[in-house]
Amino acid sequence: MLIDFNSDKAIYIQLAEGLEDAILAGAFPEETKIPSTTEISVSYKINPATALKGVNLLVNDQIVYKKRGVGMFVSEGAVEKIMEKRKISFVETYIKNLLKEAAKLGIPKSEIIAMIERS
Amino acid sequence: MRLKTLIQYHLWDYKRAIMIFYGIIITLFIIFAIVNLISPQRINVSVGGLEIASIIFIFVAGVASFTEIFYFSLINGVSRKTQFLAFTGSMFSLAAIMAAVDSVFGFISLRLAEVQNLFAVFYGAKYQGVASLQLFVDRFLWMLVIYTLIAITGYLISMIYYHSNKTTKLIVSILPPVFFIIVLPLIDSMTSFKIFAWLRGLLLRMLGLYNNVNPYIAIFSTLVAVAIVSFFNYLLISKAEVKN
Amino acid sequence: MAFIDIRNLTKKFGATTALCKINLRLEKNKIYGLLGRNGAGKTTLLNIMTNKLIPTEGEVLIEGQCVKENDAVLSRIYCMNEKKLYPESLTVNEVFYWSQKFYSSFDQAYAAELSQLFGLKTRKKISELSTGYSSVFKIIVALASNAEIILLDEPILGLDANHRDLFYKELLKNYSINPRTIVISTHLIEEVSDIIEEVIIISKGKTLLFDTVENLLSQGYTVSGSSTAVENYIAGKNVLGVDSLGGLKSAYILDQLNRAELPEGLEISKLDLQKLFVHLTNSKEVV
Repeated sequence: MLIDFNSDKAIYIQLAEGLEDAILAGAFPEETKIPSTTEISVSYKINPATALKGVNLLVNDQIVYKKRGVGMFVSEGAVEKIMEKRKISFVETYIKNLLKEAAKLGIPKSEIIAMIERS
Repeated sequence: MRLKTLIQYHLWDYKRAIMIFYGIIITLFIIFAIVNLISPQRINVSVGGLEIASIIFIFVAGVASFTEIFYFSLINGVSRKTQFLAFTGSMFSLAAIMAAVDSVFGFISLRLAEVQNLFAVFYGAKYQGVASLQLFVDRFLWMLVIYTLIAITGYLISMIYYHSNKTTKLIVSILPPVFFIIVLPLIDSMTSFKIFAWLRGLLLRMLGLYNNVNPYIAIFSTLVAVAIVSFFNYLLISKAEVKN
Repeated sequence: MAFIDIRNLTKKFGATTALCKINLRLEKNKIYGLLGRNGAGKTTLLNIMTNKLIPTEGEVLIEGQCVKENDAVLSRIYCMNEKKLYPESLTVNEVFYWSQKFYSSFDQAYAAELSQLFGLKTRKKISELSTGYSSVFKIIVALASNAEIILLDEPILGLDANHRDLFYKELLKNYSINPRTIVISTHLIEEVSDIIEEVIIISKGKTLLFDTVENLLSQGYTVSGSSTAVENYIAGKNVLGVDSLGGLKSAYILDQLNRAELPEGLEISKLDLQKLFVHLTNSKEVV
């Protein structure tokens, strides 16, 4: 999980996305513990409040939950939730940009579909 | 409690110096004693009291310690008020220790060699030459207050230096000697020698040596001096700051 | 009530005003960055906060109690100074010993652990320590003090890369496990910007800025690309500065980014805090 400290995307957002990627990839199976904010903070040398903010994004989306006295655990069904979330932003990030680029190059939708089927 | 800790530190700091000092004194004493024992003639080695040596030692202790302990106290979060109480307290403790040692030393050397010490020279008349308990108690108290005064005066001087820039330091160093060696004799000769006579009278009165010998007057005068010096010490440390 | 309340603090040294009417309210258990150029007044401020200097005007309150000449309050703060304040003839171990006596929260075991981690030889006298290890020693005393408020004046100076890394990690570990109020004063902004939560910028004795790092970063961005493309893009924008390297340019913008308007071939990265800092501290105006 890499954080690009130069990116204009806030660190806590990168952290949340990085954790989601890790969960999707199976690095943190459901009902297992993710690193504590202390571990994240020390490992990446970032303020613990930033680490907490990133983890809280996942808590809000119910991707992880807190077990008192133990730590943060990946929720049941987290993988599905992440995929759902990503599908929605997939349209925004990739599809719309693809259509914009295609419009610029004068590629009609029918040709785009053909291109997709060929790839 | 921080006051106690700081006093402990002061004394810990001086421990080594004190041990070296007394180490030297004891060695010298043993050497003299042996010389006296083995020589065919009784060499009259007048060891005297330890007073002068102790006064010099405790003065140097007072002068030397300010900056280092000031900074050390500050970084440990000790207020200037507590620092004042700590050095006054530790100087007094040091004076008490040295006065006690000197008392014992005086007692031993009197038994062994009938030597006179400073106190006996000044006030001996009062005790009619008898080495009574009263003599030792008075001598102890006398040394105690004088050593305290000397130590805190040393502290005062080092604080004056701390607060002074180069020019002021120069003035402060030169002024007193110039005053006493040049100015005062000048005034004295101009007023037909009345100044020195007057000063001499004043000093004798303060030291209880004027008409009858009275060490208690000396002790009292010294305590007054301690109060005055302490007042200035408090004033100066209240204004002391870390330097750039 | 603010945890640390700095009110109208002014400090004059003869004719020079080192601090002028500083007003700051610091909250409990946050890591603050105190940034400023050399001579801006950072050390003066930290020294007044720990009773090493006496303010000309104003006061510093900790939970409502004035710091000046207050032993009780002072026992809750530890300040690591750039200046050598420990007697040179003491050994590191002896300093640890006495620190424990003055600060009851001082953790000897932790100090020993950190010493081993950093490679500090604790039998050595302070006078025998190199510049780097002198800083290491001071940092260890500060961290091991476990004080509620820890002030660090230029802790990174003189540390080699390894020790710097270790320092940040140990600081964050210490803070995570036992939250406390920490103020790091430095002129090396980029290094500390990810560790601190809020930033105070001091210039010529006055507060220029006091904000969260997050807010600060959200105020601008860096745009890089070919010189012509960048120049066209930045026309009319609030530009902090521009760096050139051959045909490439990087421009530092203090404005909101509109991604839709961003032309091809230009890259966006985060606002360069160093540039922002230089811009703010060079400017004659005080915000």
